[in-house]
Amino acid sequence: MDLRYSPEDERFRVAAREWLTNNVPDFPLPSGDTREGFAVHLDWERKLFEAGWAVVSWPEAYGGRDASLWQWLIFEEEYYRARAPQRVTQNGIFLLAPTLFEFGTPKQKSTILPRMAAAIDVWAQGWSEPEAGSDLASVSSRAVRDAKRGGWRLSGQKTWTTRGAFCTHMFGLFRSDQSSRRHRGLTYFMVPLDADGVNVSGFARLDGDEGFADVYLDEVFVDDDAVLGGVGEGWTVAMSTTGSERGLSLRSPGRFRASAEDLLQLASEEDARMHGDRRDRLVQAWIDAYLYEQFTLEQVTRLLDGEDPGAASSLNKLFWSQLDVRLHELAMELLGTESELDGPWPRGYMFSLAGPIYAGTNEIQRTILAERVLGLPRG
Amino acid sequence: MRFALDDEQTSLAEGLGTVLRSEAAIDVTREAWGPDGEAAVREFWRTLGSIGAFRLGISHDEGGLSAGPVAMVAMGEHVGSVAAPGPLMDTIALAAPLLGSSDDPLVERVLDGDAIVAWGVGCGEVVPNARWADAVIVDGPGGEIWLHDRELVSISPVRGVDGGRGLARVEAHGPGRRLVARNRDRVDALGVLVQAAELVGLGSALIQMTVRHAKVRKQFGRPIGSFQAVQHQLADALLAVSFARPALYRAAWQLATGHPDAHRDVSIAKATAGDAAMFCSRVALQCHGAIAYTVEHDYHLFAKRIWALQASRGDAHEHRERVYRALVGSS
Repeated sequence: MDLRYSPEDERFRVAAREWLTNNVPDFPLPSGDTREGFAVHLDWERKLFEAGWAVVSWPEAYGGRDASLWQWLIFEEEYYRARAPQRVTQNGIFLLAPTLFEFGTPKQKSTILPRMAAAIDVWAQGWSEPEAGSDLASVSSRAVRDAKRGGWRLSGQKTWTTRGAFCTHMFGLFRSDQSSRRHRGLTYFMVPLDADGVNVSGFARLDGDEGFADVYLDEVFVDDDAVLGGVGEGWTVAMSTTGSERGLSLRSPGRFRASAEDLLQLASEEDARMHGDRRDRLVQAWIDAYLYEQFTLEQVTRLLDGEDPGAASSLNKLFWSQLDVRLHELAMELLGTESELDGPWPRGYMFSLAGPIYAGTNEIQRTILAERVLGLPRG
Repeated sequence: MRFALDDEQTSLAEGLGTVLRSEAAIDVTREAWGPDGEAAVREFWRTLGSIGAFRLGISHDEGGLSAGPVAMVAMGEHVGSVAAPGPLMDTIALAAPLLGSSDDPLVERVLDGDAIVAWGVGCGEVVPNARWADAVIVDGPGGEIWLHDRELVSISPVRGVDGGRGLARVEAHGPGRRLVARNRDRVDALGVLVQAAELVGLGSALIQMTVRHAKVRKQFGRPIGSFQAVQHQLADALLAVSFARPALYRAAWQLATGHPDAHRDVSIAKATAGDAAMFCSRVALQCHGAIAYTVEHDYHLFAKRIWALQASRGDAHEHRERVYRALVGSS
């Protein structure tokens, strides 16, 4: 056991911190989940990309700097410490890109990844449908083979697509074998949202920002290059994404350690309201962020040792999503009547309420733990 | 950066775990509750002594394996996982090294497992394992550590909730022998930490016990482990111990490397482990149902140990208060 980062990693930290200190905007940007705010965030993404900080763990050839997983964690820690802007490219970078690295053809990787890193293309995850949320395998959007044109015609509807109204592209599962059921006969497609037959309709999330969209597809033609992985193998391809979504790439410890520090600061400002069990809960929120960091370091060690995180990533997701809600709940209490004014904490609270729902609901996660880790019989 | 045990640490811990299982430590615990408790514990102690268990924490020069805090924590988990009786981790991690560095005449008998030493530092009058102790180590009036041989103290057994803990009221009739700790704070911190490790082991063991039960117990035509209500409680218990465990090892590392945050991190580990183990004890009972609500079922051996250890050496709230002061300063 050795819990020191290497000198090289510490130099990486210094470089990241220096760049962020010099480049993070002095004032928070408008929300990236609004049209205007999204555009401003894209400017920030391009700035990150030009300095080589957009996708640190990717190979240089695709716009990264070949950073190790430890260095990625360090970068995230520094990023949140600097209170840098929200990453509106995250669904592409953290969900599609790992899948491309694993299943993509050389042509797909060289076409898609650099443009993704540079935020020229911005990707939305078209996972859910009105009748397929937790039960992703019940998707009914169709892909019909168009052999004459060398591609497919996609039809159907995706919903709750984060920032779908502002993105340029979408990835999702379509049923390519109409006689198939559930997770068989699905294909993973990458779709430009400006293609003929695509209709995107943004709608507001709980906080009022236009952060969601319905994406309607009516016989949208895409060529064979739009297929990621094998035809009919979409489920396997998608599950690799779902693993990393629930795992560490979606929420690094740096985020919560920064939130916990912000909560400590809020508590010192709202000292008069720190009665009852609030002190205990304040410390517990800080401890939870610390625990999440230790757990992550242990998980990354296992990943680097070649172990499959498997269902243990469900532990990860359950923990951070609940930590985030508890942290924000306390913040709302400390604000008292001020909590009904619009501001970062109430918005953070509303966003935290989504945590137990997205990336696989916490109910699903618990069932996965019970059945796949504890070995309990299926319900 | 590597958040995992070394091979040496792993084999030390697994070695001890193997011995505890092969010696059926849980049976000794069960016997410790009864009238022949002392004899059972002493026999267990001699066996452990004979395989060198009590030498694990003393230095190589002194014939030990120099196990540091990280290995101690790993061992502590194993000790907890079988609810082993007696001052096992207290001896390995605290008493044996302290007796060695103090050149105390009792040290060889302790290392051989012929003498049992109860660790009563920070305990007040009632000391766990004093009932079968040949000597008791307690606080002195000026903050020093003192050893009292059994012949020179009054030992009056006290009925505890955990009948396997061997509680007794200890009254010294003389000064005893002074033991000198190179770093007193570190001794106290390690004492808290190994107890935290035992708590995680105990909690994990209860989860496994409950899973075994839930797989075979059938009601309404199916194993109760297939019901979501049971599944989700156990998943939450697993979550609790899974996040308590890394805190143990971070704290152990901090102690081993003399990090300024070591004491804060030990408090985090104790608070987290205590809460996690208590939660496991609730889930385990609920998911067993009435079957475990009896001293004839092993559940109580683990649960009562958890209740005692979570309260001892500072409970979760007290340790969180220490963390608060470390983060924010005194109020």
